[in-house]
Amino acid sequence: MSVTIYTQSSCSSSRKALKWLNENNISYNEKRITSQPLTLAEFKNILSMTEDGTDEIIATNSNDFKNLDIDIEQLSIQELYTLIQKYPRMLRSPILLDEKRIQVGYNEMDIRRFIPRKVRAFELNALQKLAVE
Amino acid sequence: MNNIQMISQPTASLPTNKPVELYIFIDPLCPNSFAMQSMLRKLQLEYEHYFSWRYVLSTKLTSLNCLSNRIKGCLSGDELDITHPALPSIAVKAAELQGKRAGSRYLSKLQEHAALQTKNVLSHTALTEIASEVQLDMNEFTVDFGSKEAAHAFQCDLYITREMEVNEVPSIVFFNENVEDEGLKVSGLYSYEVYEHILQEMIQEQLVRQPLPTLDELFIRFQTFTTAEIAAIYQIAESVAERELKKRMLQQKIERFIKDDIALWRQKGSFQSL
Repeated sequence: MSVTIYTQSSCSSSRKALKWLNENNISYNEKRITSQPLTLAEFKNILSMTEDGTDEIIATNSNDFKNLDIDIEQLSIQELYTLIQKYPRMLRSPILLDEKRIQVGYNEMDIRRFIPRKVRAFELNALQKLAVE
Repeated sequence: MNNIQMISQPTASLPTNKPVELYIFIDPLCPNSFAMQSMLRKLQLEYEHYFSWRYVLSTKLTSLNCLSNRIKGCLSGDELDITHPALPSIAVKAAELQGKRAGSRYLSKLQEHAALQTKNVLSHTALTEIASEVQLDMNEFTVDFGSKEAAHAFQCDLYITREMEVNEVPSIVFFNENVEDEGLKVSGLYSYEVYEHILQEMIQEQLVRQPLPTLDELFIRFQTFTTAEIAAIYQIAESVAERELKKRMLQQKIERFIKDDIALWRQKGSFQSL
């Protein structure tokens, strides 16, 4: 499984994120949503990783969003998707995700979560374990 | 009820980013996974400023492989109801396509119905009804439930389960900010203090606990609780919890639903039916 990164043209955060992925040898698929619109399946996959649907991924200070003057909360998923296809810049950028997590925007600390890590068992006294009868 | 808040501490400044990631592996129909809920809720209430979390469905493969009976319904396609052990998991993933919060609202409701045996939660019809009970976008849910996206999302969960070598539900895997560190896997269900301790170890500084909300606020956030859950969250005796809950029932704030020896309390008017 690899990372998918949704970028926008002339976005410096997108460039930084791509540079970081390259430097860290993390394989990724880039999709530039300003030239190739998001599919509904991709959009839903993004939503499924967010806490409460839309808040995290909408660029509320973007011109596209301001000009629309809409209440996101009132929109159905289809309506929102249609808008985003038309105005991809109302999404924050970049959006990175793999099967585990989502990262919106570029942050040099948080992007490190995409580095693969191992897991070890935490040793606990089996007697402490709670059981449900 | 304010006396119940006595364990709260003053709130210091809280970190803005969340340094810890939790992967919570559950099987939607496993009673131990349901039992983990009160621990998780309390952990969120007190420490959610430290961690982000998500559920990973690790439905037992053995239960997926068994072929279930197909029930022949009426001839119309809509009424032809199917049941299958993988359906609840796929339904949760379909709900999650509307956001994690929608997914966990759906999951709680599903677990409630399973615990109280108020619905056959292996059935397609019942699983669709649950979506409408928790007010999902039904146009999307109906499409997503049968879609390859929901199936794919479920496969991803099984993939994560394998990758992190989780072979017991419930389990939790903790990751801290330090990418050189391994994730810590806690298999099975332990007392609240154990998880608190691990969180502390991951963060390596004194944990700052958020004060618990009042009982009324609690019901606004999570809607439904068992008596035992309320007792566990506030660390009070079940009899005390029950008395407080009954008081609120008399005030018509919450209502009670009893099945065998489980009492479930929920905010009045929050859901149409159970």
